[in-house]
Amino acid sequence: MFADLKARLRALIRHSTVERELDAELQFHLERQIEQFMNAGLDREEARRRARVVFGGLDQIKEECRDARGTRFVEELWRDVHYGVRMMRRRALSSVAAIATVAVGIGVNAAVFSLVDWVLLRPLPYPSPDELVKVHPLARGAAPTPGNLTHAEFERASMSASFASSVAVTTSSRVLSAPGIEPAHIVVGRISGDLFRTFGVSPVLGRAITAAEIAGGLSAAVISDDLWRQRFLADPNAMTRVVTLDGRPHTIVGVMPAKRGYPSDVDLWRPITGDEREDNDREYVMIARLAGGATVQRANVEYVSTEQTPLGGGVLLIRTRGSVQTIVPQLRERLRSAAPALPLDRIHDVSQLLAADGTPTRFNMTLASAFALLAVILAAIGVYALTAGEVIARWRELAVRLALGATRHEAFWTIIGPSVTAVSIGVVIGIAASFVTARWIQSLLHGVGPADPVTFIAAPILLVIVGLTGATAAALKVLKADPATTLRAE
Amino acid sequence: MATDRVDLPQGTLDLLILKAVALEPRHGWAIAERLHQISSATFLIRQGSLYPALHRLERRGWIRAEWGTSDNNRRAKYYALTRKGRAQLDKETAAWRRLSTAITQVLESA
Repeated sequence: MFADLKARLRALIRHSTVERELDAELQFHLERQIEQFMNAGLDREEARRRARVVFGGLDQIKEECRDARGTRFVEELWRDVHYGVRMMRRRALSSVAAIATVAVGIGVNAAVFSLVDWVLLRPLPYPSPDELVKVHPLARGAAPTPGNLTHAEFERASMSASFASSVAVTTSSRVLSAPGIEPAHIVVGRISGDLFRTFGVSPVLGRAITAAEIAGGLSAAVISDDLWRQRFLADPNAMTRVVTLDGRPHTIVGVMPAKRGYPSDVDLWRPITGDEREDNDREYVMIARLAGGATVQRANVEYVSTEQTPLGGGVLLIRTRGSVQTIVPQLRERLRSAAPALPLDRIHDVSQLLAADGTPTRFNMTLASAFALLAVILAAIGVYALTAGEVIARWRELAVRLALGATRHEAFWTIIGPSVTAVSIGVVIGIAASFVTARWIQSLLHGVGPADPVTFIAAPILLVIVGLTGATAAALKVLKADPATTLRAE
Repeated sequence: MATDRVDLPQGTLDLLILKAVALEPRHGWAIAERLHQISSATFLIRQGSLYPALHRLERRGWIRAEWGTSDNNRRAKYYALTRKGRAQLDKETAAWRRLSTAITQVLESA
Protein backbone atom coordinates (compact mmCIF):
# COMPACT_ATOMS: atom_id res chain seq x y z
CA MET A 1 0.00 0.00 0.00
CA PHE A 2 2.68 2.47 1.06
CA ALA A 3 5.10 1.27 -1.64
CA ASP A 4 2.35 1.68 -4.18
CA LEU A 5 1.57 5.26 -3.14
CA LYS A 6 5.25 6.14 -3.02
CA ALA A 7 5.84 4.75 -6.51
CA ARG A 8 2.83 6.57 -7.94
CA LEU A 9 3.76 9.85 -6.31
CA ARG A 10 7.32 9.58 -7.57
CA ALA A 11 6.08 8.87 -11.09
CA LEU A 12 3.92 11.98 -10.93
CA ILE A 13 6.20 14.43 -9.18
CA ARG A 14 9.48 13.40 -10.77
CA HIS A 15 7.90 12.58 -14.08
CA SER A 16 10.86 13.49 -16.30
CA THR A 17 13.38 11.66 -14.08
CA VAL A 18 11.22 8.55 -14.15
CA GLU A 19 10.94 8.80 -17.94
CA ARG A 20 14.73 9.25 -18.31
CA GLU A 21 15.33 6.23 -16.11
CA LEU A 22 12.96 4.16 -18.21
CA ASP A 23 14.86 5.14 -21.37
CA ALA A 24 18.20 4.32 -19.76
CA GLU A 25 16.98 0.99 -18.46
CA LEU A 26 15.58 -0.19 -21.81
CA GLN A 27 18.62 1.16 -23.67
CA PHE A 28 20.92 -0.81 -21.38
CA HIS A 29 19.02 -3.98 -22.20
CA LEU A 30 19.15 -3.35 -25.95
CA GLU A 31 22.88 -2.61 -25.85
CA ARG A 32 23.55 -5.88 -24.07
CA GLN A 33 21.48 -7.76 -26.62
CA ILE A 34 23.30 -6.06 -29.50
CA GLU A 35 26.66 -6.96 -27.93
CA GLN A 36 25.54 -10.55 -27.59
CA PHE A 37 24.50 -10.74 -31.24
CA MET A 38 27.78 -9.09 -32.32
CA ASN A 39 29.76 -11.58 -30.26
CA ALA A 40 27.90 -14.26 -32.16
CA GLY A 41 29.29 -12.82 -35.39
CA LEU A 42 26.62 -10.39 -36.66
CA ASP A 43 27.61 -6.93 -37.86
CA ARG A 44 26.42 -3.98 -35.78
CA GLU A 45 23.51 -3.04 -38.04
CA GLU A 46 22.12 -6.56 -38.20
CA ALA A 47 22.68 -7.04 -34.47
CA ARG A 48 20.73 -3.87 -33.76
CA ARG A 49 17.89 -4.94 -36.03
CA ARG A 50 17.66 -8.40 -34.45
CA ALA A 51 17.83 -6.95 -30.94
CA ARG A 52 14.84 -4.75 -31.70
CA VAL A 53 12.87 -7.72 -32.98
CA VAL A 54 13.64 -9.86 -29.95
CA PHE A 55 12.88 -7.02 -27.59
CA GLY A 56 9.57 -6.03 -29.13
CA GLY A 57 8.25 -2.55 -30.02
CA LEU A 58 10.10 -0.06 -27.86
CA ASP A 59 7.32 2.54 -27.79
CA GLN A 60 4.70 -0.02 -26.97
CA ILE A 61 6.78 -1.38 -24.10
CA LYS A 62 7.32 2.12 -22.76
CA GLU A 63 3.56 2.65 -22.83
CA GLU A 64 3.03 -0.60 -20.95
CA CYS A 65 5.59 0.49 -18.35
CA ARG A 66 3.74 3.79 -17.94
CA ASP A 67 0.53 1.85 -17.46
CA ALA A 68 2.27 -0.23 -14.81
CA ARG A 69 3.09 2.94 -12.88
CA GLY A 70 -0.62 3.52 -12.28
CA THR A 71 -0.52 7.26 -13.03
CA ARG A 72 -1.81 7.14 -16.55
CA PHE A 73 -5.05 9.01 -16.00
CA VAL A 74 -3.38 11.90 -14.17
CA GLU A 75 -0.59 12.09 -16.73
CA GLU A 76 -3.01 12.29 -19.63
CA LEU A 77 -5.14 14.87 -17.89
CA TRP A 78 -2.03 16.90 -17.22
CA ARG A 79 -0.98 16.61 -20.87
CA ASP A 80 -4.41 17.75 -22.05
CA VAL A 81 -4.47 20.72 -19.68
CA HIS A 82 -0.95 21.60 -20.73
CA TYR A 83 -1.96 21.50 -24.38
CA GLY A 84 -5.08 23.52 -23.64
CA VAL A 85 -3.06 26.22 -21.87
CA ARG A 86 -0.60 26.37 -24.77
CA MET A 87 -3.42 26.79 -27.28
CA MET A 88 -5.03 29.43 -25.06
CA ARG A 89 -1.83 31.41 -24.97
CA ARG A 90 -1.79 31.42 -28.72
CA ARG A 91 -5.28 32.94 -28.76
CA ALA A 92 -4.92 34.91 -25.56
CA LEU A 93 -7.60 37.52 -26.17
CA SER A 94 -10.53 35.19 -26.77
CA SER A 95 -9.36 32.91 -23.96
CA VAL A 96 -9.18 35.77 -21.48
CA ALA A 97 -12.62 36.89 -22.65
CA ALA A 98 -14.05 33.41 -22.08
CA ILE A 99 -12.44 33.10 -18.65
CA ALA A 100 -13.58 36.57 -17.58
CA THR A 101 -17.13 36.04 -18.86
CA VAL A 102 -17.53 32.84 -16.93
CA ALA A 103 -15.89 34.23 -13.79
CA VAL A 104 -17.90 37.46 -13.72
CA GLY A 105 -21.14 35.65 -14.51
CA ILE A 106 -20.65 33.28 -11.62
CA GLY A 107 -19.38 35.93 -9.21
CA VAL A 108 -22.17 38.46 -9.80
CA ASN A 109 -24.82 35.80 -9.62
CA ALA A 110 -23.55 34.39 -6.35
CA ALA A 111 -23.20 37.81 -4.75
CA VAL A 112 -26.67 39.02 -5.69
CA PHE A 113 -28.37 35.79 -4.81
CA SER A 114 -26.76 35.55 -1.40
CA LEU A 115 -28.10 39.02 -0.74
CA VAL A 116 -31.57 38.21 -2.06
CA ASP A 117 -31.55 34.95 -0.19
CA TRP A 118 -30.92 36.85 3.00
CA VAL A 119 -33.45 39.61 2.43
CA LEU A 120 -36.31 37.74 0.83
CA LEU A 121 -36.09 34.06 0.68
CA ARG A 122 -35.13 33.16 4.20
CA PRO A 123 -38.22 33.73 6.34
CA LEU A 124 -38.07 34.48 10.04
CA PRO A 125 -37.89 31.23 11.97
CA TYR A 126 -41.36 31.70 13.44
CA PRO A 127 -44.83 30.58 12.40
CA SER A 128 -46.66 33.08 10.10
CA PRO A 129 -43.70 35.48 10.06
CA ASP A 130 -45.71 37.91 7.90
CA GLU A 131 -47.86 38.76 10.88
CA LEU A 132 -44.91 39.94 12.95
CA VAL A 133 -44.29 43.68 13.06
CA LYS A 134 -41.90 45.87 14.93
CA VAL A 135 -43.52 48.90 16.48
CA HIS A 136 -41.69 52.20 16.58
CA PRO A 137 -42.65 55.39 18.37
CA LEU A 138 -43.18 58.56 16.38
CA ALA A 139 -40.39 60.89 17.30
CA ARG A 140 -41.78 64.27 18.11
CA GLY A 141 -41.45 66.83 15.42
CA ALA A 142 -39.45 64.78 12.99
CA ALA A 143 -40.02 61.96 10.59
CA PRO A 144 -40.38 58.74 12.53
CA THR A 145 -37.10 57.02 13.22
CA PRO A 146 -36.82 53.42 14.30
CA GLY A 147 -36.44 53.57 18.04
CA ASN A 148 -37.46 52.22 21.40
CA LEU A 149 -40.51 52.75 23.54
CA THR A 150 -41.06 53.39 27.19
CA HIS A 151 -42.99 50.73 29.05
CA ALA A 152 -46.02 52.99 29.33
CA GLU A 153 -46.02 53.51 25.56
CA PHE A 154 -45.76 49.78 25.03
CA GLU A 155 -48.72 49.13 27.29
CA ARG A 156 -50.88 51.56 25.42
CA ALA A 157 -49.78 50.37 21.98
CA SER A 158 -50.32 46.75 22.95
CA MET A 159 -54.00 47.44 23.52
CA SER A 160 -54.51 48.17 19.82
CA ALA A 161 -57.08 45.88 18.25
CA SER A 162 -54.66 45.39 15.37
CA PHE A 163 -52.40 43.25 17.53
CA ALA A 164 -53.26 39.72 18.56
CA SER A 165 -50.41 39.79 21.04
CA SER A 166 -47.25 41.75 21.62
CA VAL A 167 -44.10 41.77 23.65
CA ALA A 168 -41.67 44.41 24.84
CA VAL A 169 -38.14 43.37 25.50
CA THR A 170 -34.99 45.10 26.61
CA THR A 171 -31.62 43.49 27.07
CA SER A 172 -28.70 44.05 29.36
CA SER A 173 -25.65 42.15 30.52
CA ARG A 174 -25.96 40.64 34.01
CA VAL A 175 -23.98 38.28 36.18
CA LEU A 176 -25.45 34.83 36.57
CA SER A 177 -24.44 32.56 39.41
CA ALA A 178 -25.76 29.35 40.85
CA PRO A 179 -24.41 26.61 43.11
CA GLY A 180 -21.93 24.56 41.10
CA ILE A 181 -21.77 27.07 38.26
CA GLU A 182 -19.06 29.63 37.76
CA PRO A 183 -20.42 33.17 37.76
CA ALA A 184 -20.67 34.47 34.19
CA HIS A 185 -21.81 37.53 32.30
CA ILE A 186 -24.90 36.69 30.32
CA VAL A 187 -27.36 38.66 28.22
CA VAL A 188 -30.66 38.99 30.04
CA GLY A 189 -33.85 39.86 28.19
CA ARG A 190 -36.38 41.57 30.43
CA ILE A 191 -39.82 41.03 28.98
CA SER A 192 -43.29 42.39 29.33
CA GLY A 193 -46.29 41.16 27.35
CA ASP A 194 -46.34 37.70 25.82
CA LEU A 195 -43.05 36.67 24.22
CA PHE A 196 -44.18 33.11 23.57
CA ARG A 197 -47.55 33.76 21.99
CA THR A 198 -46.24 36.66 19.91
CA PHE A 199 -43.48 34.60 18.34
CA GLY A 200 -45.42 31.36 18.38
CA VAL A 201 -42.68 29.44 20.16
CA SER A 202 -42.87 27.36 23.26
CA PRO A 203 -40.05 26.06 25.43
CA VAL A 204 -38.60 22.68 24.43
CA LEU A 205 -38.26 21.83 28.09
CA GLY A 206 -40.33 23.03 30.98
CA ARG A 207 -42.91 25.76 30.44
CA ALA A 208 -43.26 29.36 29.35
CA ILE A 209 -43.33 32.29 31.72
CA THR A 210 -47.01 32.82 32.59
CA ALA A 211 -49.02 36.01 32.26
CA ALA A 212 -49.39 36.05 36.04
CA GLU A 213 -45.63 35.89 36.49
CA ILE A 214 -45.18 38.75 34.02
CA ALA A 215 -47.85 40.84 35.67
CA GLY A 216 -46.54 40.14 39.15
CA GLY A 217 -42.89 40.61 38.19
CA LEU A 218 -42.18 37.17 39.61
CA SER A 219 -38.73 35.73 39.36
CA ALA A 220 -39.31 32.95 36.83
CA ALA A 221 -36.79 32.61 34.00
CA VAL A 222 -36.53 30.83 30.66
CA ILE A 223 -33.02 30.15 29.41
CA SER A 224 -31.64 29.77 25.88
CA ASP A 225 -30.65 26.44 24.43
CA ASP A 226 -27.02 27.64 24.31
CA LEU A 227 -26.94 28.60 27.97
CA TRP A 228 -28.62 25.33 28.94
CA ARG A 229 -26.02 23.30 27.05
CA GLN A 230 -22.97 25.35 28.03
CA ARG A 231 -23.66 26.21 31.67
CA PHE A 232 -26.05 23.48 32.70
CA LEU A 233 -24.49 20.76 30.50
CA ALA A 234 -27.92 19.99 29.03
CA ASP A 235 -29.11 18.77 32.40
CA PRO A 236 -32.85 17.91 32.13
CA ASN A 237 -33.16 18.76 35.81
CA ALA A 238 -31.99 22.32 35.18
CA MET A 239 -35.69 23.16 35.41
CA THR A 240 -36.63 24.28 38.91
CA ARG A 241 -33.03 25.18 39.66
CA VAL A 242 -32.58 28.49 41.36
CA VAL A 243 -30.05 30.87 39.86
CA THR A 244 -28.96 34.25 41.11
CA LEU A 245 -29.02 37.27 38.81
CA ASP A 246 -27.30 40.27 40.32
CA GLY A 247 -28.14 39.04 43.78
CA ARG A 248 -31.80 38.17 43.10
CA PRO A 249 -32.88 34.53 42.98
CA HIS A 250 -34.74 33.29 39.90
CA THR A 251 -36.24 29.89 39.20
CA ILE A 252 -35.60 28.39 35.77
CA VAL A 253 -38.91 27.20 34.39
CA GLY A 254 -38.08 26.40 30.77
CA VAL A 255 -35.58 26.15 27.91
CA MET A 256 -36.11 27.98 24.59
CA PRO A 257 -35.73 25.99 21.36
CA ALA A 258 -32.34 26.59 19.69
CA LYS A 259 -32.20 29.70 17.47
CA ARG A 260 -35.82 30.65 18.19
CA GLY A 261 -35.32 33.11 21.00
CA TYR A 262 -35.79 36.83 20.44
CA PRO A 263 -33.52 38.76 20.48
CA SER A 264 -31.19 36.01 19.30
CA ASP A 265 -28.32 36.95 21.60
CA VAL A 266 -30.33 36.63 24.82
CA ASP A 267 -29.30 33.88 27.24
CA LEU A 268 -32.10 34.29 29.77
CA TRP A 269 -35.56 35.87 29.72
CA ARG A 270 -37.27 37.09 32.86
CA PRO A 271 -40.33 39.28 33.54
CA ILE A 272 -39.64 42.93 34.22
CA THR A 273 -39.94 43.87 37.88
CA GLY A 274 -42.46 46.30 39.32
CA ASP A 275 -39.78 48.96 39.62
CA GLU A 276 -38.70 48.56 36.04
CA ARG A 277 -42.35 48.87 35.01
CA GLU A 278 -42.48 52.28 36.63
CA ASP A 279 -39.29 53.54 34.96
CA ASN A 280 -39.78 55.92 32.13
CA ASP A 281 -36.72 54.63 30.25
CA ARG A 282 -37.10 54.53 26.53
CA GLU A 283 -35.53 51.12 26.14
CA TYR A 284 -38.16 48.63 24.99
CA VAL A 285 -38.29 47.02 21.57
CA MET A 286 -41.86 46.15 20.78
CA ILE A 287 -42.77 43.24 18.53
CA ALA A 288 -46.40 42.53 17.83
CA ARG A 289 -48.32 39.87 15.99
CA LEU A 290 -51.05 41.35 13.83
CA ALA A 291 -54.56 40.19 14.57
CA GLY A 292 -56.44 38.38 11.80
CA GLY A 293 -57.29 40.78 8.99
CA ALA A 294 -55.11 43.57 10.36
CA THR A 295 -52.60 45.17 8.03
CA VAL A 296 -49.43 47.05 8.74
CA GLN A 297 -51.04 50.19 7.30
CA ARG A 298 -54.00 50.06 9.64
CA ALA A 299 -51.85 49.25 12.65
CA ASN A 300 -49.65 52.19 11.83
CA VAL A 301 -52.52 54.60 11.54
CA GLU A 302 -54.02 53.48 14.82
CA TYR A 303 -50.71 53.70 16.49
CA VAL A 304 -50.19 57.22 15.23
CA SER A 305 -53.62 58.28 16.44
CA THR A 306 -53.36 56.78 19.88
CA GLU A 307 -49.72 57.06 20.74
CA GLN A 308 -48.85 60.64 20.14
CA THR A 309 -51.15 61.75 22.92
CA PRO A 310 -48.93 60.96 25.92
CA LEU A 311 -46.02 62.74 24.25
CA GLY A 312 -47.79 65.98 25.00
CA GLY A 313 -49.89 66.66 21.96
CA GLY A 314 -52.62 65.41 19.75
CA VAL A 315 -52.64 63.88 16.35
CA LEU A 316 -55.20 64.69 13.80
CA LEU A 317 -55.50 62.29 10.91
CA ILE A 318 -56.74 63.89 7.74
CA ARG A 319 -57.52 62.22 4.48
CA THR A 320 -56.64 64.50 1.59
CA ARG A 321 -57.26 64.59 -2.10
CA GLY A 322 -54.09 65.29 -4.04
CA SER A 323 -50.68 66.05 -2.59
CA VAL A 324 -50.31 66.55 1.15
CA GLN A 325 -47.76 69.34 0.84
CA THR A 326 -49.98 71.59 -1.27
CA ILE A 327 -52.71 71.71 1.35
CA VAL A 328 -50.39 72.24 4.33
CA PRO A 329 -50.62 76.10 4.43
CA GLN A 330 -54.36 75.89 3.97
CA LEU A 331 -54.59 73.35 6.75
CA ARG A 332 -52.59 75.46 9.16
CA GLU A 333 -54.80 78.40 8.39
CA ARG A 334 -58.00 76.47 9.05
CA LEU A 335 -56.71 74.91 12.25
CA ARG A 336 -55.51 78.18 13.59
CA SER A 337 -58.86 79.81 13.01
CA ALA A 338 -60.75 76.84 14.46
CA ALA A 339 -58.59 76.44 17.58
CA PRO A 340 -56.16 79.31 18.10
CA ALA A 341 -54.84 77.82 21.37
CA LEU A 342 -53.82 74.52 19.77
CA PRO A 343 -50.07 74.31 19.18
CA LEU A 344 -49.46 72.82 15.77
CA ASP A 345 -46.21 71.03 15.34
CA ARG A 346 -45.48 69.17 12.16
CA ILE A 347 -47.48 67.63 9.41
CA HIS A 348 -46.49 64.22 8.08
CA ASP A 349 -47.61 62.14 5.22
CA VAL A 350 -48.59 58.69 6.53
CA SER A 351 -47.04 57.02 3.52
CA GLN A 352 -43.81 58.77 4.52
CA LEU A 353 -44.07 57.12 7.93
CA LEU A 354 -44.58 53.75 6.32
CA ALA A 355 -41.58 54.14 4.01
CA ALA A 356 -39.27 55.04 6.85
CA ASP A 357 -38.45 51.46 7.64
CA GLY A 358 -34.89 50.92 6.47
CA THR A 359 -35.13 47.45 4.96
CA PRO A 360 -34.79 47.06 1.22
CA THR A 361 -38.11 46.48 -0.43
CA ARG A 362 -39.20 43.35 -2.18
CA PHE A 363 -39.23 45.31 -5.41
CA ASN A 364 -35.58 46.29 -5.10
CA MET A 365 -34.63 42.74 -4.41
CA THR A 366 -36.67 41.39 -7.30
CA LEU A 367 -34.98 43.90 -9.54
CA ALA A 368 -31.56 42.85 -8.27
CA SER A 369 -32.41 39.19 -8.89
CA ALA A 370 -33.54 40.00 -12.39
CA PHE A 371 -30.24 41.74 -13.09
CA ALA A 372 -28.29 38.81 -11.66
CA LEU A 373 -30.23 36.43 -13.85
CA LEU A 374 -29.60 38.69 -16.81
CA ALA A 375 -25.88 38.69 -15.97
CA VAL A 376 -25.86 34.89 -16.05
CA ILE A 377 -27.80 34.76 -19.32
CA LEU A 378 -25.45 37.29 -20.93
CA ALA A 379 -22.49 35.33 -19.61
CA ALA A 380 -24.00 32.15 -21.05
CA ILE A 381 -24.49 33.75 -24.47
CA GLY A 382 -20.96 35.15 -24.36
CA VAL A 383 -19.47 31.82 -23.39
CA TYR A 384 -21.40 30.03 -26.11
CA ALA A 385 -20.17 32.48 -28.73
CA LEU A 386 -16.58 32.36 -27.50
CA THR A 387 -16.28 28.60 -27.25
CA ALA A 388 -17.99 28.01 -30.58
CA GLY A 389 -15.88 30.76 -32.16
CA GLU A 390 -12.73 29.23 -30.76
CA VAL A 391 -13.53 25.90 -32.40
CA ILE A 392 -14.54 27.46 -35.74
CA ALA A 393 -11.30 29.45 -35.74
CA ARG A 394 -9.44 26.17 -35.67
CA TRP A 395 -11.42 24.63 -38.49
CA ARG A 396 -8.35 24.29 -40.68
CA GLU A 397 -6.26 22.73 -37.96
CA LEU A 398 -8.98 20.16 -37.47
CA ALA A 399 -9.09 19.43 -41.18
CA VAL A 400 -5.31 18.96 -41.24
CA ARG A 401 -5.49 16.59 -38.28
CA LEU A 402 -8.23 14.54 -39.94
CA ALA A 403 -6.33 14.50 -43.25
CA LEU A 404 -3.25 13.23 -41.38
CA GLY A 405 -5.26 10.32 -40.07
CA ALA A 406 -6.42 11.39 -36.62
CA THR A 407 -9.65 9.66 -35.67
CA ARG A 408 -12.72 11.89 -35.35
CA HIS A 409 -12.78 11.09 -31.66
CA GLU A 410 -9.18 12.25 -31.13
CA ALA A 411 -9.62 15.34 -33.29
CA PHE A 412 -12.80 16.25 -31.39
CA TRP A 413 -11.10 16.25 -28.01
CA THR A 414 -8.06 18.11 -29.29
CA ILE A 415 -10.19 20.81 -30.82
CA ILE A 416 -12.47 21.47 -27.86
CA GLY A 417 -9.63 21.12 -25.32
CA PRO A 418 -8.74 24.85 -25.10
CA SER A 419 -12.40 25.82 -24.65
CA VAL A 420 -12.84 23.28 -21.89
CA THR A 421 -9.69 24.55 -20.20
CA ALA A 422 -10.76 28.20 -20.47
CA VAL A 423 -14.23 27.51 -19.09
CA SER A 424 -12.75 25.43 -16.25
CA ILE A 425 -10.35 28.20 -15.27
CA GLY A 426 -13.23 30.69 -15.39
CA VAL A 427 -15.33 28.47 -13.15
CA VAL A 428 -12.54 28.15 -10.59
CA ILE A 429 -11.95 31.91 -10.53
CA GLY A 430 -15.71 32.59 -10.45
CA ILE A 431 -16.31 30.28 -7.50
CA ALA A 432 -13.38 31.78 -5.63
CA ALA A 433 -14.76 35.27 -6.35
CA SER A 434 -18.21 34.17 -5.15
CA PHE A 435 -16.81 33.17 -1.80
CA VAL A 436 -14.92 36.42 -1.48
CA THR A 437 -17.98 38.56 -2.34
CA ALA A 438 -20.23 36.48 -0.09
CA ARG A 439 -17.77 37.02 2.76
CA TRP A 440 -17.74 40.70 2.00
CA ILE A 441 -21.52 40.97 2.03
CA GLN A 442 -21.54 38.96 5.22
CA SER A 443 -19.21 41.47 6.85
CA LEU A 444 -21.46 44.37 5.76
CA LEU A 445 -24.78 42.89 6.80
CA HIS A 446 -25.27 41.19 10.08
CA GLY A 447 -26.89 37.81 9.82
CA VAL A 448 -26.18 36.92 6.17
CA GLY A 449 -25.02 33.35 6.24
CA PRO A 450 -22.84 31.86 3.53
CA ALA A 451 -25.35 31.52 0.70
CA ASP A 452 -27.01 28.35 -0.02
CA PRO A 453 -24.78 25.91 -1.94
CA VAL A 454 -27.35 25.61 -4.72
CA THR A 455 -26.74 29.26 -5.61
CA PHE A 456 -23.03 28.66 -5.78
CA ILE A 457 -23.30 25.57 -7.92
CA ALA A 458 -26.19 26.31 -10.27
CA ALA A 459 -24.56 29.18 -12.19
CA PRO A 460 -21.19 27.42 -12.71
CA ILE A 461 -22.96 24.27 -13.89
CA LEU A 462 -25.12 26.26 -16.31
CA LEU A 463 -22.09 28.07 -17.74
CA VAL A 464 -20.07 24.86 -18.05
CA ILE A 465 -22.94 23.16 -19.87
CA VAL A 466 -23.45 26.13 -22.19
CA GLY A 467 -19.71 26.47 -22.83
CA LEU A 468 -19.29 22.80 -23.64
CA THR A 469 -22.42 22.79 -25.77
CA GLY A 470 -21.04 25.72 -27.78
CA ALA A 471 -17.71 24.02 -28.35
CA THR A 472 -19.29 20.64 -29.06
CA ALA A 473 -21.89 21.96 -31.47
CA ALA A 474 -19.25 23.81 -33.44
CA ALA A 475 -16.84 20.87 -33.36
CA LEU A 476 -19.51 18.46 -34.61
CA LYS A 477 -20.37 20.82 -37.43
CA VAL A 478 -16.70 21.10 -38.35
CA LEU A 479 -16.26 17.33 -38.16
CA LYS A 480 -19.17 16.76 -40.54
CA ALA A 481 -17.45 18.79 -43.22
CA ASP A 482 -15.11 16.94 -45.55
CA PRO A 483 -11.52 17.82 -44.56
CA ALA A 484 -10.39 17.84 -48.20
CA THR A 485 -13.02 20.45 -49.11
CA THR A 486 -12.05 22.59 -46.14
CA LEU A 487 -8.36 22.47 -47.04
CA ARG A 488 -9.02 23.25 -50.68
CA ALA A 489 -11.27 26.16 -49.74
CA GLU A 490 -8.33 28.14 -48.34
CA MET B 1 13.08 -25.39 -32.66
CA ALA B 2 10.84 -22.40 -32.24
CA THR B 3 7.78 -24.65 -32.26
CA ASP B 4 8.98 -26.28 -29.03
CA ARG B 5 8.56 -23.02 -27.15
CA VAL B 6 5.43 -22.42 -25.07
CA ASP B 7 3.69 -19.24 -24.01
CA LEU B 8 3.79 -18.57 -20.31
CA PRO B 9 0.51 -19.19 -18.49
CA GLN B 10 -1.11 -15.97 -17.39
CA GLY B 11 0.41 -14.57 -14.21
CA THR B 12 3.42 -16.87 -14.01
CA LEU B 13 5.88 -14.25 -15.30
CA ASP B 14 5.63 -12.48 -11.95
CA LEU B 15 6.49 -15.66 -10.12
CA LEU B 16 9.50 -16.33 -12.36
CA ILE B 17 10.81 -12.78 -11.90
CA LEU B 18 10.51 -13.01 -8.12
CA LYS B 19 12.41 -16.29 -8.24
CA ALA B 20 15.09 -14.84 -10.51
CA VAL B 21 15.90 -12.03 -8.10
CA ALA B 22 15.54 -14.15 -4.96
CA LEU B 23 19.24 -15.04 -4.72
CA GLU B 24 20.77 -11.68 -5.55
CA PRO B 25 19.83 -8.31 -7.06
CA ARG B 26 19.75 -8.47 -10.86
CA HIS B 27 19.13 -6.02 -13.67
CA GLY B 28 16.52 -6.61 -16.36
CA TRP B 29 18.94 -8.07 -18.89
CA ALA B 30 20.34 -10.51 -16.32
CA ILE B 31 16.82 -11.57 -15.34
CA ALA B 32 15.96 -12.22 -18.99
CA GLU B 33 19.16 -14.21 -19.45
CA ARG B 34 18.57 -16.21 -16.31
CA LEU B 35 15.01 -17.13 -17.27
CA HIS B 36 16.23 -18.10 -20.71
CA GLN B 37 19.01 -20.31 -19.32
CA ILE B 38 17.31 -22.11 -16.47
CA SER B 39 14.20 -22.81 -18.48
CA SER B 40 16.42 -24.22 -21.20
CA ALA B 41 14.87 -21.70 -23.56
CA THR B 42 11.44 -23.27 -23.18
CA PHE B 43 9.48 -20.09 -22.59
CA LEU B 44 8.51 -17.73 -25.28
CA ILE B 45 8.97 -14.44 -23.49
CA ARG B 46 9.12 -11.26 -25.49
CA GLN B 47 12.05 -9.63 -23.71
CA GLY B 48 10.44 -6.25 -23.54
CA SER B 49 7.44 -7.55 -21.65
CA LEU B 50 9.71 -8.14 -18.70
CA TYR B 51 9.88 -4.42 -17.94
CA PRO B 52 6.21 -3.60 -17.41
CA ALA B 53 6.11 -6.62 -15.09
CA LEU B 54 9.17 -5.37 -13.19
CA HIS B 55 7.61 -1.93 -12.74
CA ARG B 56 4.36 -3.45 -11.56
CA LEU B 57 6.13 -5.62 -9.00
CA GLU B 58 8.11 -2.64 -7.81
CA ARG B 59 4.92 -0.66 -7.32
CA ARG B 60 3.47 -3.48 -5.27
CA GLY B 61 6.54 -3.36 -3.06
CA TRP B 62 7.64 -6.93 -3.82
CA ILE B 63 10.90 -5.85 -5.41
CA ARG B 64 13.01 -2.77 -4.84
CA ALA B 65 14.99 -1.02 -7.60
CA GLU B 66 18.37 0.60 -7.22
CA TRP B 67 20.80 2.00 -9.76
CA GLY B 68 24.20 0.30 -9.70
CA THR B 69 27.16 -0.46 -11.92
CA SER B 70 27.04 -3.54 -14.11
CA ASP B 71 29.87 -6.01 -14.72
CA ASN B 72 30.83 -4.17 -17.91
CA ASN B 73 30.99 -0.92 -15.95
CA ARG B 74 27.72 0.65 -17.10
CA ARG B 75 24.88 2.06 -15.04
CA ALA B 76 22.04 -0.43 -14.68
CA LYS B 77 18.88 -0.68 -12.63
CA TYR B 78 19.10 -3.60 -10.21
CA TYR B 79 16.05 -5.24 -8.73
CA ALA B 80 16.15 -6.96 -5.33
CA LEU B 81 13.51 -9.01 -3.54
CA THR B 82 11.90 -7.25 -0.54
CA ARG B 83 10.65 -9.03 2.56
CA LYS B 84 7.12 -8.66 1.29
CA GLY B 85 8.28 -10.04 -2.06
CA ARG B 86 9.79 -13.09 -0.41
CA ALA B 87 6.52 -13.84 1.35
CA GLN B 88 4.73 -13.46 -1.96
CA LEU B 89 7.25 -15.76 -3.69
CA ASP B 90 6.66 -18.46 -1.03
CA LYS B 91 2.93 -18.10 -1.37
CA GLU B 92 2.94 -18.24 -5.15
CA THR B 93 5.42 -21.12 -5.24
CA ALA B 94 3.20 -23.18 -2.95
CA ALA B 95 0.14 -22.32 -5.01
CA TRP B 96 1.92 -23.22 -8.24
CA ARG B 97 3.03 -26.58 -6.80
CA ARG B 98 -0.50 -27.43 -5.75
CA LEU B 99 -1.82 -26.42 -9.14
CA SER B 100 0.73 -28.34 -11.18
CA THR B 101 0.31 -31.45 -9.01
CA ALA B 102 -3.42 -31.28 -9.48
CA ILE B 103 -3.10 -30.80 -13.23
CA THR B 104 -0.62 -33.67 -13.49
CA GLN B 105 -2.97 -35.93 -11.52
CA VAL B 106 -5.88 -35.09 -13.77
CA LEU B 107 -3.82 -35.67 -16.89
CA GLU B 108 -2.44 -38.99 -15.67
CA SER B 109 -5.74 -40.36 -14.45
CA ALA B 110 -7.13 -40.67 -17.92
